[in-house]
Amino acid sequence: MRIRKKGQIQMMETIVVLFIFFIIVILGLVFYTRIAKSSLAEKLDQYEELSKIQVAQIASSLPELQCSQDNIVKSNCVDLLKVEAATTVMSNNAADYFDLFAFSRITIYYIYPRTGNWPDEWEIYNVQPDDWDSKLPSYFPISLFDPFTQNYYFGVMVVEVYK
Amino acid sequence: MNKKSQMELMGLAIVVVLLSLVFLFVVRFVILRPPSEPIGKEFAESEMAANFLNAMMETNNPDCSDIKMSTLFQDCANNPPDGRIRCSNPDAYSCFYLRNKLGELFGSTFNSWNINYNFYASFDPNDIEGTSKDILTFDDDDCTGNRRMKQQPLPLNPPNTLYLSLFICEGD
Repeated sequence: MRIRKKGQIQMMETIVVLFIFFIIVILGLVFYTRIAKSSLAEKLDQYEELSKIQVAQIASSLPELQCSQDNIVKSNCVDLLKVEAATTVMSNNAADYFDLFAFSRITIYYIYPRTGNWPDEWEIYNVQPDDWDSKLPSYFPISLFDPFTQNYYFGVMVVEVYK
Repeated sequence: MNKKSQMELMGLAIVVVLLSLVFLFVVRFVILRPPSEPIGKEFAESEMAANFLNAMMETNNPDCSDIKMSTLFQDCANNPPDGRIRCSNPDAYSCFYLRNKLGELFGSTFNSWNINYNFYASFDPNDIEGTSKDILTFDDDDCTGNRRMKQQPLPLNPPNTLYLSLFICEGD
């Protein structure tokens, strides 16, 4: 009887040790999952930011938009006549540009100086997914070249990637 | 104490040491890890500052016989306190015109996007805190945290140079 009681106590001890061990393992897993989740969210944000930059860089270097004179390309500049034409061409052929811009919206805004000769904004590309939560804008200032007057104006390319 | 209890105590001590090591490791590398700087955001803000300065300098002003912004800056810095180039709407010399139009430009960009910024046009490249020596200053008081800076030099009458510095303040 005495021997049996000692065996029972040892069994209980093993069970308690195992129980505590599993509790520690579960706590560790929960902690690890939380950390992994937050770093994943951080990576997603970073990816989103990078994809906005990628879209803006591709858009500003599209031959359909960029300024060029005698075959010399001017960086960070879009030709207003090309922009006028691209608004229609790109929105009618959005599928052809999907590989470059995916689900995003690209708009060019005319900021300064106000001459009244050009509209305030041009929507270059806009393809929305069926289901999206947010689209935070990123702003990329650019020069707008007016081929009629040979003048440069101040504009902004706004890139919104649907999330 | 018999040998068995000594062994048990040793085991317990080893477990405690191991757990402490794991805890220290977690605290050092996970909890106390400095928040990583989002590369994309940093790049976008630097790009924004650089592109803003480039596009602004290139911009022609119909009120000043289509003169570029960079020429207005040079005129204002070379001929203080007002400048020599006269513009219309507002009818003023280059320094006042620049102050007026840059205010409009910053208002319809950074202010409307809720992005804090500082802009200085100064003769000293290291004088980037908005002093009385600056010919133009647009200072946003809310710019407290980290700032991304782009600076563009503009040649003036020798030996002077004007430095345009634009800071984009780190957002949330």
